[in-house]
Amino acid sequence: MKIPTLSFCITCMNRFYQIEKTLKQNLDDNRMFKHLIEFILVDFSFDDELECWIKSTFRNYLKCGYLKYFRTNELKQWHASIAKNTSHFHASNDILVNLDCDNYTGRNGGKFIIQQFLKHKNDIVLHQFGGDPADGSFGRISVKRRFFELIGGYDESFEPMGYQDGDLIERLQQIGLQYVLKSNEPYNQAIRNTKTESILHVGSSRNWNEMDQINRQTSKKNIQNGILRANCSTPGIRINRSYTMNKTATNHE
Amino acid sequence: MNELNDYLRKTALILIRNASFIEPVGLIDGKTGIAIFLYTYARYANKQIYSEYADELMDEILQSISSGLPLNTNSGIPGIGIGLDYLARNQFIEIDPKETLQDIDSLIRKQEACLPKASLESIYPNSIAYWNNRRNQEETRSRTSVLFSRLTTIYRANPSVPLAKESLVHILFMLKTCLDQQIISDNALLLHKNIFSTLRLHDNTPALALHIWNILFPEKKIEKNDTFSLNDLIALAHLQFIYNPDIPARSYYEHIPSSIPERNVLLNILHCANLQNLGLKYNLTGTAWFLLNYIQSIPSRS
Repeated sequence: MKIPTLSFCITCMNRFYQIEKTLKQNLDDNRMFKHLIEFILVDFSFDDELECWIKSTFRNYLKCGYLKYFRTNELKQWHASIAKNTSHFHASNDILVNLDCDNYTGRNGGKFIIQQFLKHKNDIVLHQFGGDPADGSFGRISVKRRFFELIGGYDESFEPMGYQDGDLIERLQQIGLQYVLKSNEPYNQAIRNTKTESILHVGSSRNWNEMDQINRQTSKKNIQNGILRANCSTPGIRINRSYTMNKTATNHE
Repeated sequence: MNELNDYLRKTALILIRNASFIEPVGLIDGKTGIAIFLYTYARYANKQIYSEYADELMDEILQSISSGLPLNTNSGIPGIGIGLDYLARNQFIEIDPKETLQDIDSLIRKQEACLPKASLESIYPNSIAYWNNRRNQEETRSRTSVLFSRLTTIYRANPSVPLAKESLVHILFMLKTCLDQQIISDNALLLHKNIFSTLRLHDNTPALALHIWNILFPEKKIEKNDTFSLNDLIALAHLQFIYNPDIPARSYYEHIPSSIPERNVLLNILHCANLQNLGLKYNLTGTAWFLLNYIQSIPSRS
């Protein structure tokens, strides 16, 4: 039996007030299994607050690779699919878990996810959605990296927000993965946001519902036409400044 | 001694990395036995980290207790109950006996009530071990009485058929319980006498059965030169806490008729460990559990 490793993929744009609450808790809650788990954090913020806090607070976690921090200023306005693809494609473990920056994993939540994959023989898309669309957990999707890469990740042709998670789940099911819903309360807690809060920094004149509707239609059309792979070119942003060790920043492309 | 400690440490590390991801939860085949090893090792090595992992396993074990588990000490409810009772008695965990163990009591009673009478007799050795650990004389008495009546009938019908090695060891423990607690008299005494003759006279007596006999009935000690296999050592360490919790650990390990595994054997076990089979019944953890008990039973060894 090979135990799969896991990457929590986090994105953050100007929400220091939220990640300040969740990140330390999540790192501490999963420390027992850190030989199997990494946290990928991609910072799209316009100021240096998060970067300074990460470097001063999590030096040891950065050093051992339990936390990997990346920063880029290439994303000028929030686009959920591009942001999530960026964090997912920086991950190096077997299972990729999208963890919004306002989400809590729960105590040993990473172990819980690995157990679900072992129990279901790996070919699943795990959805840790609490059931209330406003509870902030809808985007908690876990999938094996090879399947995520196979379908090209989140669809970047979408409007900046809305239905990118539902579309990902649909396409993963279309390639044969079993949908597993786990609504266990301890593992899907999140800080609640209003729809207005969630579309801050989105450069669109449309509201959330309009974007959601357009994306649903695009998704439906693509799937009906058998287009299951998104993004012709390389998805996500690959130009970053990374801080994975206790070294100074390095630019790489 | 450094080699033994090194083996224990490496085994503990393998367990904390992998035990949460195996399926079996039982005392001998799964997480319950592993948790017991980790708690005991944490206390022995004075490293709390191992008991934190054991706590995590305990949460998983408690969540998995259901009527879907079998009625045996290896992988099922009675074994988990014995494990919890052992951990609580040795102050590794704090559980509310009224809640957890009484839930297990009810589950066992319910499962027994659903079984046909013929199957019950094969289940009884497992549940007797549980009730005896729970010190519930009434439940122990009712099951032992049925079981021994049946065993005596088999033995009377064909005394030349030696009992299977594994059954024999279990029967010896139950005999001890019967005689100590004066649960039944005639059948137990007759069986005691017959087994004594068999063990004394036959050349191919299993070494483990003989060792257990000498521990349980020192007044009728049988002297024979015999050696233990690795499997015997592992089995000995299981039996220590499945049956008769009142017998001091020291008596199990004081006069073992073989030497402990050598360095190359231990290295080979570590090298060949199957990460799906991590319970006490398998070589890796079984050997570690034996060594831990062996070292601890006589302080001069550590």
